[in-house]
Amino acid sequence: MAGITGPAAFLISILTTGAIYATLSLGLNLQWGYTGLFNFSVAAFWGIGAYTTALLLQPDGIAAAVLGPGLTGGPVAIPLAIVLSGLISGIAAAIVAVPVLRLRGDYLAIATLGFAETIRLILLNETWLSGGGSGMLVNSPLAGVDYDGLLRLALSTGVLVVVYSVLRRGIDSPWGRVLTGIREDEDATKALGKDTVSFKLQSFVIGSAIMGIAGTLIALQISFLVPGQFNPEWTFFIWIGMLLGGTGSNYGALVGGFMLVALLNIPRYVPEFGGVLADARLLVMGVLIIVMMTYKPTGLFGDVNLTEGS
Amino acid sequence: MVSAIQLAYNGLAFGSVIVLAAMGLSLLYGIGNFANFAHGELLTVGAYLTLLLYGAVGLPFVLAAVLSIGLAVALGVLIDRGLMVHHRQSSSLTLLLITVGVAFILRSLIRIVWSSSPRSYGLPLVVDQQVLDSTVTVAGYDVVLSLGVSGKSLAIIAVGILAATGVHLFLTRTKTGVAMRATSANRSLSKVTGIDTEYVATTTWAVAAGLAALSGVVLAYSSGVIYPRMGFDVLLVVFAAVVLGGIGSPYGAMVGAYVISIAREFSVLIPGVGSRYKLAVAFLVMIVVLLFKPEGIYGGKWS
Amino acid sequence: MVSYNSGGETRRSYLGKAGGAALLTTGLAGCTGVIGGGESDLNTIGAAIPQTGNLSDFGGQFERQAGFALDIVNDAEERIEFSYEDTQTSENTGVTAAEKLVSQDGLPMVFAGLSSSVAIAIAESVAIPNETLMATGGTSSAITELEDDNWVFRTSPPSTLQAQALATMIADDGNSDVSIIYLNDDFGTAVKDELVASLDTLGVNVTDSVGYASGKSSYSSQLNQAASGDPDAIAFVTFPQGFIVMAKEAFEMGLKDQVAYYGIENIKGSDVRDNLDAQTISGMSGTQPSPPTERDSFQRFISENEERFDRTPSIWEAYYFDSAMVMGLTTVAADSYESAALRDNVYELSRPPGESYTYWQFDDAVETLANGDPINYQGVSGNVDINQNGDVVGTYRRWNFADGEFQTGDFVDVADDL
Repeated sequence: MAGITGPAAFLISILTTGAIYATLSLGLNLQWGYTGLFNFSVAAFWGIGAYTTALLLQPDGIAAAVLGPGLTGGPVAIPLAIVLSGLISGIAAAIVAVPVLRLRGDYLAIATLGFAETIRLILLNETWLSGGGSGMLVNSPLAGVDYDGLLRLALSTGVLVVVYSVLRRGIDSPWGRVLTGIREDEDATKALGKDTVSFKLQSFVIGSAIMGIAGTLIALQISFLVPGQFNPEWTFFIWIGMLLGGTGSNYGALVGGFMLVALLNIPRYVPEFGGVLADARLLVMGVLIIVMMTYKPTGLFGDVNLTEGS
Repeated sequence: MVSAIQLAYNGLAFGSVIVLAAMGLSLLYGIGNFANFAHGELLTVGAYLTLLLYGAVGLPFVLAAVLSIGLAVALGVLIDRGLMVHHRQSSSLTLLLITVGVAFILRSLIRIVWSSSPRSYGLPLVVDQQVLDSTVTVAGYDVVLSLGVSGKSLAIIAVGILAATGVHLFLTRTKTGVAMRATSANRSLSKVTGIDTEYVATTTWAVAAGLAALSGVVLAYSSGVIYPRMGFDVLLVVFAAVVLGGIGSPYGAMVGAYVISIAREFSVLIPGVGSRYKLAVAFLVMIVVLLFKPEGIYGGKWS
Repeated sequence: MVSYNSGGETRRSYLGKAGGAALLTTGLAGCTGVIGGGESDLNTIGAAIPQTGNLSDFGGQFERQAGFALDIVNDAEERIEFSYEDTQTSENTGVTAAEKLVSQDGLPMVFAGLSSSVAIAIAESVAIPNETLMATGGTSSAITELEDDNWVFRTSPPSTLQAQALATMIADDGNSDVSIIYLNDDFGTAVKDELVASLDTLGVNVTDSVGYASGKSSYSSQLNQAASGDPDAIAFVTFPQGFIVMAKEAFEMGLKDQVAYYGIENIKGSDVRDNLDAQTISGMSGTQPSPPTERDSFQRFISENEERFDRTPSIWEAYYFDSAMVMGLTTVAADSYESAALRDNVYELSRPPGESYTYWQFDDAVETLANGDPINYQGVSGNVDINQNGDVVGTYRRWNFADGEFQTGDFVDVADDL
């Protein structure tokens, strides 16, 4: 089976992963960077999107029965999966948002974290749906295709570009300005007659839908899903990536996604010092976060000054 | 058949573990205005230090525990004076992320020193004594009245209550405690009235770390196992308790800890849910309370 | 409240910082090839193993045994070396680790994954698409069923076989009602499923199957549920950390006197023995995959390990050692260090026909291969005859816990109808 091999293939894989993290980061940035919502359930929406894709692509699953194998097995399945994953994640976000969005910042963080854990537990326990702890195979229409790594890269980058452009457009619009208004001073924005609850909801849902779409991409990338893939640690990692890249800026969020993948993989090139290496990596990440937040809390391309107390 | 009384009792025991951690976390939240994601690691540190002093050094268990709490207090002070002091003006998100960094550092150090293999204190076994054991029929339904208690669980419950009382006395009867309450209520005002807010901040870290370490020891004692992720594994429940009770109020934390713990135990009675969704139930309870009282039970205010 | 940070200049000055440098480094390294490889004459075998994460202890065991095997393979002539990448016991990271070894470093043969889910992810995403020979330590039966064109094999038997042995033992001991507590992950679920099926076939009634998640401080609800159907015994398909909590709690609850305990191999070990009061588990029995202990090869493996590393190796280490030896032999047997050639040789050299060779007869085996004759590698963990599906068959023994120690008992004759 032909394809690109060698170091280039690894680079392609890394870039694809980077694009996926960048997409997640953009979704999160919409929610936090622009609207000021502390969403700690990134991994959950990512997971919902991923499993939705896996379920859609199952050759003997419900989707195949209802829509026919042509739709669920062929190349059309991919855009279908993207749309469906975004949709389902968005709907889940809407449901969660109702009780949760009216909460103050810190409370919102904990509530979303709780939601994320609940989703993970559902994925773990409801074996009929997700394969449970045993995991679920993703029947990718790209499997066995020549240059599939390149195709995945093209797909992920394409999605990233589309998402980025849409968000860029959105932020520059009146809609976007209301969002930043909410982040700056929600009460003032309300006083101006804007239904801030509705705007927050839109931002939350759209951001989560984007994360769901990133879920499709990761499902195609790793081919085998287990609930542990969507632990709270990943939410933290995406946050760190986004902040590294720059707060409150779409460009910063995008860069942040790539920085994250670099950060997670750089230690591969450092000479080993036994099993201590990986623990040392966690140590290094911890020190890095502290150094970053102390000396450059706005990240590389950030607008929002985090050092101002809030 | 499951006994509701037993579930409530178990909830009380687990609640003690949570309340110790939650009080400190709530204090830090209220005075420092940030969520301390390193709190779980402070629990773990307390458990491992006790293991070191009791197991390796050979001190009597209680002494080892007391000493390790002291060491944890020192650690808390170190974190505050060494790191947090530079961030008094930083946003709560910055502070949260810094504590995540601290957590990563502490966890990796523990893993490097002790490895991930499970450990235990090896304390003598204590068997449950059946205090109640009967079934009563009420309105045609069988109600199981069964309760098993042990010296161990009673001790744990006692520690929780004593600690909560201690915290209450500290906050109401000591000068530092009163200063802490004032700072939590209004930081800038308290500075103006001459309260040494730096001293308050450091003391809060000291108290929170000490309580967390105690919680870790109790957790290790209760579960019988010590491993690097143990603190983090309960952290979410602790957070839920703090939020439920109202961020910033240690009294809220006390109530929240027991409410969540007992609710968690009762989740096994829900058909189809069973024990697999205990954590989810804890959060559900928290969210329901927040729907009615978006600031938590005590709303961040102290009595 | 948040405020803006103005000034584009300050941003640019930070381009040199970690972020940019990191991206640059990755890009460069990715394009120009890996640092520190390709200069030696040694053939490199890739190893994507958990150096951190849940299975990090096992990762360390692999490295230890691979090192031991390396010394033997390289004794007469420096032939191979291992290149390690950390999977962090995570599928996502594992796939990247394997990608680095296979795609970037271009290694034709890898050992990947100790956890089955990581192994499957790597097999599906990396090994099979790239037509790379992959050995693995994953024990799930799903690996047997992979459509892998023979690219994937293993020297550790599927865990399901252990379930059959355990079921046989439980039935033979005269239990009629049994409940199961199992870890809700790929390993635990697979073993549980096979155990339930086997018990069913043997006529033993399973009253409850209760899953648990790791990292809890109490499993009273699982224990209660498992005991609720009044079983004769409870089978624990658990890892040490969870089991320690359960055994202690069950004893305190008074459950120990009411049921017999059975367990799988994971429980048998110093982690459990050192962290539990003997009372809590005395009388417990279980199964373990067992090497043919009466055989020389295993005896010698144990003693050489004890001499070298000052510790008694676990059964898993025997499997890892055999994996490394098989891979080493394959590099010698194949006429080129390419995946296809390697694949063509690995199955043959593990099984008859061919003269039998053990690990300390490595040099003789090499000679035979040089003469163009077939060999049959006899492992320390068993015959190591890798079959059509890339699997080996396991043998199992009973263990008992008595007098504060784990004791190994007789071989279990897995029931015929299973």
